[in-house]
Amino acid sequence: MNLFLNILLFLLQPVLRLTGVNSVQLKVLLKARLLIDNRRPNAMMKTRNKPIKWGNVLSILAGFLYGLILLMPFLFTEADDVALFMSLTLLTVLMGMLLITDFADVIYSTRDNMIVLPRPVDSKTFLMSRIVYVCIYMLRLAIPMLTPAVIALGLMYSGKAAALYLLLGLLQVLNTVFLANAAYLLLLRFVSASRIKNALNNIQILFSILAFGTYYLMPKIMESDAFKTLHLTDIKWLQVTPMYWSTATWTWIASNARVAPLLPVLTLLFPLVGLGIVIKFFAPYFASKLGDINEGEKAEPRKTKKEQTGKFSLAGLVCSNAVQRSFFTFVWKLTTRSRNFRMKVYPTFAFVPIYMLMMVMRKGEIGNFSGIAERLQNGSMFLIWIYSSCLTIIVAYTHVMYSDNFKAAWVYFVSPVSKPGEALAGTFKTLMIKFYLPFYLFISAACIAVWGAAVLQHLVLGMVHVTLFVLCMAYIMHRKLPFSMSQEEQNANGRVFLRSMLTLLVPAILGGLHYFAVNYWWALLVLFCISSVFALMLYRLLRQVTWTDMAK
Amino acid sequence: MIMQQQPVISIRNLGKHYGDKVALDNVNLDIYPGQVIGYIGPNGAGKSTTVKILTGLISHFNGSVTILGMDLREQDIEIKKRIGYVPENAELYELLTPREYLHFIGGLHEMPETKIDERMERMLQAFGLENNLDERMDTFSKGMRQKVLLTAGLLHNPDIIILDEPLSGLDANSVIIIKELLGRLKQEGKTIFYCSHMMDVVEKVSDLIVLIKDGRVVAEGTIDQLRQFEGQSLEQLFAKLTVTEDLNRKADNLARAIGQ
Repeated sequence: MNLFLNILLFLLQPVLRLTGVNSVQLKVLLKARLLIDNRRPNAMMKTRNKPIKWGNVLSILAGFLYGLILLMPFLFTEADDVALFMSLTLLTVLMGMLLITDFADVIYSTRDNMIVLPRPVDSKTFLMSRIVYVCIYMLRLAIPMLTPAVIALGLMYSGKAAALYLLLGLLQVLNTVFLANAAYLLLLRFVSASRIKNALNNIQILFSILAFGTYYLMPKIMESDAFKTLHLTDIKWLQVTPMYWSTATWTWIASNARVAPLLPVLTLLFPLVGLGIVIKFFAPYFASKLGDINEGEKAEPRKTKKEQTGKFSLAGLVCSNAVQRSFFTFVWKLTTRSRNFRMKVYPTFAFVPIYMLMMVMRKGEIGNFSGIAERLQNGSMFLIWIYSSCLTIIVAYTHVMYSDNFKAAWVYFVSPVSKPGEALAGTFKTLMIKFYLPFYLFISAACIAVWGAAVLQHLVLGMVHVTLFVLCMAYIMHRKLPFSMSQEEQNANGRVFLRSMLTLLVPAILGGLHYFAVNYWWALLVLFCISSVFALMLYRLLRQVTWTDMAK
Repeated sequence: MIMQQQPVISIRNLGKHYGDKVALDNVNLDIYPGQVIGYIGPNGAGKSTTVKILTGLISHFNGSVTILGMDLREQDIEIKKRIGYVPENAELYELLTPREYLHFIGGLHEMPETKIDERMERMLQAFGLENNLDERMDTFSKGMRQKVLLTAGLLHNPDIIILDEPLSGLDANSVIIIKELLGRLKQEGKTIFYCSHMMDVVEKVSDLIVLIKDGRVVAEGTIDQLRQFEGQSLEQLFAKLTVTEDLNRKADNLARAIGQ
């Protein structure tokens, strides 16, 4: 690690000297941070003594798969420069998504305030350590993502073109880090300490919705004829984007095209200059603002209204006993107030409409809504809509058991609850009402608008099937109490992975059965009866879960 | 005699508020070299806010703070080099070993590696942690972590030591060691800012006691001066100055609430 850090600091020397960052302290901060990361418990193997890197292998594979989308522009367009530009834009979107969801919190973490801020470390060095740390991780993630396109370019063009694409891709990752940081630091500059975390959270949610929309709708746009005949030089404003400069550099070196000499220079210098600018202009108030964030939060009391409790509250109406009621209310409140949960789950609110659009849009139909509606009426696309209503609850279930404050869960284990299954049932009810019902109602309205009242029978069966599936998830996959595990344990171990795979078979089977029964009312009725009985049985089983079952 | 020297810490009209809530209101204090200050007050009185301002964790405040002749707003890094801080909550990187953690802290103070090793080994040996030097701290008890934090706070041989509940979680023997250590450090001319709820310890180790309530200093003086004034133990004095209601009646009300 020392050698790696020494090389890195040597490469950064000009920027460090220019910005006045203390390189000795920077190395100490980075070394500690990387050492701590290497020691995070590897949930995959559930032991710290045998750090088998399966988690790393899986994340490399996942990166490789994600990276396949970077290849798409090269397959859909004949103009090399447009393809490269789109590929780099997609990379920026992907990296932006990762930065926003996973790494913004690293930059603004206040966890080590008490450890680092009282030491003689200046704000520039502190900020630089966090940015460099994020860059190391982003580059590490980017390499497997870039690999499919690098291999393809090597085969389609030449080794030189492929190597250049890799270099430009990595520079683009750095650009994304600096641009995202500049935007966030600007926010830090102008928003008061007590509101900063909420503001960050809301912006993160908004950005991930935008990035998600771009990522999924982009391939549809690329299929259009307008895209195929696009010339980069036609759109003037593209020329101020780093992706355009990189594209120009690539065409200059790989295909000997004539480009303005300034563009390759900008490509190489922008990341370093970007880093320098971020440090120079935003660092002076970074550490002080971080200190204030925690203090502002702790000191300003946030009052909430006293709510209706007991039989007449929502919990009272849907829960059959005190344990269920208390978990129903607890999970309801924490899923609203936990920033981490909101960050992970709330963006998916927008995914449902995006998926709905993505599923029905075809080539040449972008914007032609009446045409789409006419075509839809003749098919059974409503099934996809009905089943996509469970997207958010799946994500909510995946995250509800994790919390930064997981140690507070000791209180579950000392309480005289004989069957934690009641707690799981309370959690199930909250998540169904909060993260499924609104989407189901929205989709029902959309389905009735397109297909009329005839779709009602499918809506009812769809709800029973989704309930059954969610109960399967709760009973088989997520048999853990809410907010009781650390984020580090989120990497699934082997058994959970297998369970997840098995559980994912359930909606495929249920959806498949629904599809085959779609034209026969009696088959729908039989399915409805069988699935309802299974759902009821599973709900009873969930309530019966014991402490011993939880440990399995 | 002491008063003729320049104060090491000089606090003038210190104020801090969060929205409408006042955390510190016009605090004035002079602390001289070699003094041990017992800074006491009930929960939420403003003790931790004062400590966080002195250690640079909070940078926005009203009034002025001068430490070792330097303005805290202007020369915070120079001041931090000469302050040792032991926080109230045992916050450290528990995935590191004490050796790694102390090297990290020493590195931030830009100390030579050999010096860090030499000092840490001697200090941790005195605390009885010499066999745990290379074990990860995630399995450490609260007391063991506190000992590592104390070592981290003193490693760079600071002139001013700020201790926020330093005895929290320590066993009886370690408490004795710390009390002795405070005496020795004082002899060496170190200034100690001691924040605590443990009145008996504060009473024994402090030269000057400052009692704070609702962000204001409500009493200040040596233990003898305070006794002359009130004629009671520090604990009784604390209760008298900080509690407006009868504590016995509060306890009765609590017991009754449980019984109902």
